[in-house]
Amino acid sequence: MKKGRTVTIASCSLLDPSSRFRRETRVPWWLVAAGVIIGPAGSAHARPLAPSVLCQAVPDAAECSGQVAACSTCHTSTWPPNWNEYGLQLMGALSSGEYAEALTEALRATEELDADGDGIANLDELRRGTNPGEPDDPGDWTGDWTGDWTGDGSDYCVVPSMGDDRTAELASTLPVVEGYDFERAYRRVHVLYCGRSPSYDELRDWRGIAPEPESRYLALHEALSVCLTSEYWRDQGLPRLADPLIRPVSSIGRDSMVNVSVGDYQWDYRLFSYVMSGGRDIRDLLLADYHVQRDDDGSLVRVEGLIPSDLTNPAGRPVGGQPLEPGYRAGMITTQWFLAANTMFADLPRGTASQAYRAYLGLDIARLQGIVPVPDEPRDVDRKGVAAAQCAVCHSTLDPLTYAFAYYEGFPLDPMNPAISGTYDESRPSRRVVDWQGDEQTWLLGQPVDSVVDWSQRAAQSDEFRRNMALRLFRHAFDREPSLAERPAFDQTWRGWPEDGWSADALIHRLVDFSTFGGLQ
Amino acid sequence: MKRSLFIVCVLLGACNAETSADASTQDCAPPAESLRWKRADVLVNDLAGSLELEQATICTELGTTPCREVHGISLGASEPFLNTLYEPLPRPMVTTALAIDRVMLSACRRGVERDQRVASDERVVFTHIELGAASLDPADAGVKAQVHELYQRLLGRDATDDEVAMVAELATDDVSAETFATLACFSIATTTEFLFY
Repeated sequence: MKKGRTVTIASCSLLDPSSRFRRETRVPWWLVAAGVIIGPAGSAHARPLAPSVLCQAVPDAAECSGQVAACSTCHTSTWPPNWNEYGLQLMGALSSGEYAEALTEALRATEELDADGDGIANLDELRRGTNPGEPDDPGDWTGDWTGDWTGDGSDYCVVPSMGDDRTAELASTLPVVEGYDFERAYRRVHVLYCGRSPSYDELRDWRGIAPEPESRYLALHEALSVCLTSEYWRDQGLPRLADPLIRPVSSIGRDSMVNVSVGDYQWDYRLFSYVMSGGRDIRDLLLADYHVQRDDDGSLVRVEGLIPSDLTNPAGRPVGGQPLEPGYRAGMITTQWFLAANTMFADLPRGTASQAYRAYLGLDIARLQGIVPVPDEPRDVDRKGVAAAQCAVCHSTLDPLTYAFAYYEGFPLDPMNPAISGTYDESRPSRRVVDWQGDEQTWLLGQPVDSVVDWSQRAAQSDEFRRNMALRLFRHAFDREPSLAERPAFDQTWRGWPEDGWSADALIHRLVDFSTFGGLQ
Repeated sequence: MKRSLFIVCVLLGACNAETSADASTQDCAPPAESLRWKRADVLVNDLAGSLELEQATICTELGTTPCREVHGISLGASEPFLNTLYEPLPRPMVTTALAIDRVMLSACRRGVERDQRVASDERVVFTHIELGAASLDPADAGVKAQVHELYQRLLGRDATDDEVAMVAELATDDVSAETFATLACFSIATTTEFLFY
C-alpha cells in the first residue's frame, strides 16, 4: 500500500444510513491498519443518535435519569472513531438493518455480558452509572449494588429494627433513619451553611435539647433555616456555588486593572444568590426578567427595567449596567456579563449556548455530553467548516442550540457598529453571520424553540435542569457525587422539587435528612 | 490474634468483618461517610472566632497579605477571579499540611501576643496562666484550666482528663509560659477534630 493511500469510511461509529452524519471521509490507511477503526464488515459509521436509543432501550440507566447519555458510554473517541470494550461488544452484536432496532437488539443481547471484565454485567453497570466499557472506573459511585432498584427511593435504607415499637414510630414520623447523628448533622449544618463551627455555648445549648429524635430533628432544621438566611450563605456560600456558572474574570470585570471591563459580574452573583435563597423559585435562574441590587443593609432587593451603565469599555461604549430589554431577558444567561464574556467577538455565539447548556443543564458538549443531533445540521452558517464529519458529531447539536443566541450582542468593538454589549438586535445575525438565511431553527433537547426566552423556559422545565441544580447542592453538601445507595433517594429528591415549590432551601433541608449527612455508616 | 496478624488486619481494613451488621441491614446501607476537610474560609472563620482575632490579622505573609489569600488554594479554596479555578481542588495538596501549620501557628502566636500586650484582667483567651512566667508546672490548676479553655474555644467541648494531662506535658522546666500557650493552642488546633468535620 502506497504512502498516503486512504480508506473510505463513514465519520463515526455506528451510522444510520439515512443520517446526515454518514459522510464519506478519507482517513489514512495506517489508521485503519492500526485497528483504530474497527467494525463489522468494515462499516464503521458515525451515530450520535445512539444515546437516545440507549435511553429508550434501558430507561432505568443512570445516564438517562435527568441526563442525556454521553458518547463515552461506548466511545473513547468520536474522531477518529474508537470504542471502548463495551462499544466493541455492541458492534459485534449489531445486525444489519434499521439502526435503532439493531442497536436495541444489540443492547439486549449483551446486557448479561461483562464487556470490561470487572465482574459486573453490562446492564447492571448501565443502571448503576458506571461505564460498562471501562474496568478501571470505580468513580465515586461507591457502595453495594442490590440490582433491583425501582428508582422510587423506597428501598433506601429501611429503618433497622430496634426490637420494639419505637422503630415503626420513628420511621413513621421522621424522614431520618435510626442512628442518625443529630449532633454531627448540627455541626455540619453550621459549617456548610453558616460558614463556621458551632461555638461551645451553642453546642451546650444543643445538648440541652430533649434527647427525643423529634426534638432534635426540629432543632436541627431550625438551625439550618437560620444558617440559610445568614450573610455567609448569601454572600460567600452561594457565590462560590455560582462561580462555575458565572465564570468571572477579574481582568475584564468591573474592577479591571487594565481598563477593559466588558461587564459587571456582580449582577450575576446577586441574581444567583437572590434566586437561590429565601425560598424562591430556582427556575428564575433561567426565567428572571429582573435584576437584583444590594440594599444599604446588605440585603438583596429586586429591581425592574433597564439598568443604566456606569462604566465605559475600551470601545467607548457603556458597560456595567443591564441594558437588555426585559422582554428578551432569560435570567442568568442574558446578563451583560454572560453574553459579553461568553460571546465576545463571535458571529455565531456557540460558546454562549454551550456554557448555558453546561452550567444550567449539566451537559458539556466538549465532553460529548448532551449530544442530541438535529437532522440536516449543522448548516455551517458562518463557514467555519463545522459540517466536516469530525465536527458534525457535536455541531449537529451545538449549532442549532445556538441560533437564537445570535440575536444578542457580545462584545462589539467595530467602530462602525454602535451596539452595546448584552443587548438584543433583530438584525445582528444577518449582519454578522455570513450565510444566515433567516430560517435557522433553534433546538433544545430535541425540541424546536423560538427564542432564547423560549429556550430558557423549556430548559427550566427540563429534568436536566432540575437534576443538575440538585446535584450542585448535593456536591456542596457532601463533597462528592451521590453514592449508589443514595441515588434512588437523590433522584426522588430532585424529581420532587416542584412539590417543594422549586426552593433551593427546601431541597437543602431534604439533603440534610440523608442518612449520610447524619454520619451513618 | 497474634500482634503481627492484627497489624496486617488493621492495614487491610479487614478487622471489622466479624462485627459487621447483619445482612438485612446491609442491603440498603449507605456507604461509610468519611470526615470532610474544613476548607479555607471555614478554617479561618473558626480560628478567628475561637481566638477572637481579626480574620485578616491571624496570619499574614510579609506582614501585609493575609495567608488566606496567599495559600488559599492549598487550604482548599477556589480562586475564580484571578486564576479561573472555579471549583476547589477535591483533595488536599502536598502543601496543604504546610499551609495549615503556617496559619495555625501564626494565629496561636497572635493570640498569645495580643494577650501579652494587655493587663491580665483584659486578656481574652490565655487568662489562666501567667504569660510572663519562665516556666509552668504541668500539675498547676491554671495549666489545666487553660487547656480546658482552649478545648472549649477550638473544639466546642471540655477536655477529658487524659487530654488535659497530655497537653499539660508541654509545660516543662525549659518551656516558658508564652511558648507553652502557643504550642498548646497549636496542638489542639491541628487535631483531626478541628481540621475536619
